[in-house]
Parts: sequence; C-alpha cells; structure tokens
Amino acid sequence: MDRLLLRMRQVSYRYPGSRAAVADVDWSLPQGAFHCLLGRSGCGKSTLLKLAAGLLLPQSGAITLDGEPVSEPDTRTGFVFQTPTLLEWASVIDNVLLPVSLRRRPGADDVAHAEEVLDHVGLLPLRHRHPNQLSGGQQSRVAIARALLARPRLLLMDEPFAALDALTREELQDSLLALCSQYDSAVLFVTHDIAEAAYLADRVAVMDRGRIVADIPIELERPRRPALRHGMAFTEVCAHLRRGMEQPS
Amino acid sequence: MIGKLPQSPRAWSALLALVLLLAWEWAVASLDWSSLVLPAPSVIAGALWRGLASGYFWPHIAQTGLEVVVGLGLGGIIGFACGLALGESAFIQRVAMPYIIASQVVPKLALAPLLTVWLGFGTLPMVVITALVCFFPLLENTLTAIGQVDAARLELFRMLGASRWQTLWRLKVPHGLPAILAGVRVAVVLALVGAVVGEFIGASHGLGALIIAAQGSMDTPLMFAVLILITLMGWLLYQASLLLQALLLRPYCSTPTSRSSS
Repeated sequence: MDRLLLRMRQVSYRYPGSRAAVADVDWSLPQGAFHCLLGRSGCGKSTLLKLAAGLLLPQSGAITLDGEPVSEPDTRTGFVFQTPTLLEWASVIDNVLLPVSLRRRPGADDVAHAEEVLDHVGLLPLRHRHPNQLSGGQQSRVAIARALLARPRLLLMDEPFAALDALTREELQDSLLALCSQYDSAVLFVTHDIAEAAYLADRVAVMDRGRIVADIPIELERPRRPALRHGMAFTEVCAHLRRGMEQPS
Repeated sequence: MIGKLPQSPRAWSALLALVLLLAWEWAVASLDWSSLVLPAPSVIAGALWRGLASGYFWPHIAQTGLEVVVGLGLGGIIGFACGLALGESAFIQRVAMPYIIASQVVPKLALAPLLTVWLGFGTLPMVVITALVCFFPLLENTLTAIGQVDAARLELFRMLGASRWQTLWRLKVPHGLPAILAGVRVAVVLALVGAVVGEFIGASHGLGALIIAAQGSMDTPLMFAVLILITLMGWLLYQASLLLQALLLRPYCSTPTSRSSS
C-alpha cells in the first residue's frame, strides 16, 4: 500500500561557481501521495524537483524511482513547469498529444485518449483552439492534461499556478486534487505559497538554503473541500507551516 | 461628395500621389525643363507603355526576375541551413563565424567585376551576387531565432525524451519561424538591389543593364520607366513574402487576421 515510489538519499547539487543549491536532502514519496516542497524563492526547491526529474544529476547521493536509479529524464514522469510551456503553433489537442507525437504518428485511439484527458480537465470544447486563445488558467489545464496523458506514476510540478489570480488558482487546486486521485499519480509539488501547500499536500517539506528544515504532515480531511480554507483547522496548519518557514536554520 | 472628405487613408494616399504627379507635370511644362533632365510624368508613362507594348522590356524583366528568384532561393536556403548548423553546434559556430563575418564585411557588389571575370557575363554571376546578398539575413535571423527558445520548453522536450533532431524541427524552428520570416523579408528587398546593381556592373541583359544602356543613349524617360518597373517588381516580391508569411504563420495567430497588411 505505502510502497515508496521516489526516494532521495543524501542528495546534493551545486551549480558551478555557487554554493550548494541542494544539500544532503533525504526524502521519500510513497505511491499516490501528494507532497509539497515549500520555501522562499531561491531555497533550492526547484533544483530538487529537477533532480527528481532527472533533468539534473546529483553530485552526491542517490535518487531512485520505483527502485531504479534516476539517471536521465524518464518519459513516464510528468513534469509541469512554472509557465504552461505550450507550443503556440499547435492546437490544444496537438499540444496534449505532444508526448505521443514525438514517438509515433498519433492514431485514432491516441486522439480519443487525449480527448478523454481534456474532458477530465474540462477543456474538451476548446480542443481545436490555439494556446493564445486561452486564458492563463486554461493554459495551465492544458499543461496538466499533457502531463497526465501518459498516466504518470509521478507528477512533478514546479509552481504551476504561481502566475494565476487567486480564484483561478483555487479552482485549479481543486481540479488537480481530483485528477490526481483519478489518475492515481503521486505528486511532488513545489510552491512558495503556504495556503497552497496546506490545501494540497499530505506532507510538506519546508526548505531553506538547500536543506529540508521541517517535515510537516498535514492532517486535514480528504477529500479537501473549498470550505476547508475558511476553517480553524486550516488556519492552524498554515500557521504551523509558517513557523516552519521562519525558524532559523 | 462635396462637403464630405474621404476618411480612408488609402484615398488620401492616392490623392496625394495625384497632386504630386500633376504638380510635376505642370512644373516641367511651365518651367520648360529639358526631358533629358526631368521628363514629365506623361512622357515617362509613354516610354513605359511603348516598352511594354513592343515587348522590349519583357526579356529584361524576365532576366532580372530569374536572377532574383534563383538567387534568393539559393542564398536563403543556404543561409537557413548554415544558421541551423551554427545554432546547433557551438563548435562549428566558433570555427566558422569569423569567416562568415569577414565574408559579409566584404561589399558583395564590389565582387561583381571579379565574378564576371570568373563566371562570364551571363546569368550565373548575377545569381551568385544575389545569393551572397540574401545569405546573411537568413543566417543571422535563423541563428538568433533558434537560440531564443526558453529553457523550460527545452526541458519539456528533454522530459518527453525528444531527440536532438526532434527538438530542432518540432521546437526550435517553429518557435523561431516568425523571426526567420523577418529575415526573408529583408532578403527579398536586398535581393532586388543585389541583382540590379550587379547588372549595372557586368550584364548585358536585365533591368539594371537597361538603365545603363538608357544612360548611354541619354534616354532619361526610359531610365525612369525602368525605375518604375524595378519598384513594381520589388513591391510584388515584398507582397509575395508577406503572403508567404501569412500562410506559414497562420497556425500562430488566434484570429484569421494576421500582420500581413502592410
């Protein structure tokens, strides 16, 4: 049940000519879990996410995905970036099909599958539009649909909602939680937003200067409902996370 | 009609042209200028019409058109290919860039006499000059354009397991296409200048050669007529490049209207 999917042991990474961006990080992500990496800008959380993706390789330590060492980007891992990174010249459906079309010519069943995923993110009627005809929130949904197309066991998300307005962000958070349980994906989600981490995560790793300084389980009822955001329990969790971010390391 | 001025800028443009032409015609007639210095618009129109109707202009138009189209095609394709090679390989870029810049600093038109020595007085030297002139804008714009893809999109393609070839053709080239097409527009204009000035120096056919011949026989109305033909040809080529751009960039635009209106 609680089998570990992603495991990081003593992971360190240093960009050339600067101090360590990630230092001695130990973290484990069980299958189907939703974990957040929370921290200020420049604390190394995005770097840690890229290490988990295999986009960067650690200078020391080990990262395993399902028991196998991560040595290059794994096409079965979904990655959602800070910006939607859609291809402006391709329609919504072609953007979602990109992971397939890089491998082979998409067939009718591929298209049907992509339409199903688009339906799940609520964008099926817009599938023939182009990205610049969509709102920011809709573009983020397309990016999520593209990442979910391969039914990834692991979804890595790097502040995907940071540029959206508050209401759209909350809608997308609810959609994301529903999609993750539907697709049974484990998620490692990077954010600097305390309320976002509190609402989404089962467990939060607070990062500061490349290290994980607090490991905070979130004990709020699942499934999360929008009304939860206004309750006392939620406020307390946020305060707890905030203390974790502020404590001197 | 009266009391209600036209609102359209096009109508005003046409009106302005008419006023200028009438003023020119009147000035030449009333100040009694020699048509050797400045022929009246009506005289130029006559020369233009006679040249077209007698078929005298057509071989020259075809000659210059051929040089421009072939030169633009060759120079453009080679420039694009070199831009891709230099953009993809930092090593090739380091090795080749000084030579490419040196070749561009050499004024290509000054090579025309040399090229006629090497290649004779036919079409080939003019095509080579035109291609040399078109090469650099395509190289420069392609090189810059494919280098400007943002890091996140490149990482996306890495995450999706795309090959280098796929990253080039499915991401970098489509992403850079608007900038590459801007290079095409620059090259189109330069191509005509290259062909015509090349013909000044070393050709017996083509519109540039025709201007030199008209100068030799002191036929100023003919020079003006050929100038009009060259201008028209440049305008047509530019419109064709805008049409090409509108076609290729159609998938990039949210609405059917594009930036094609000049």
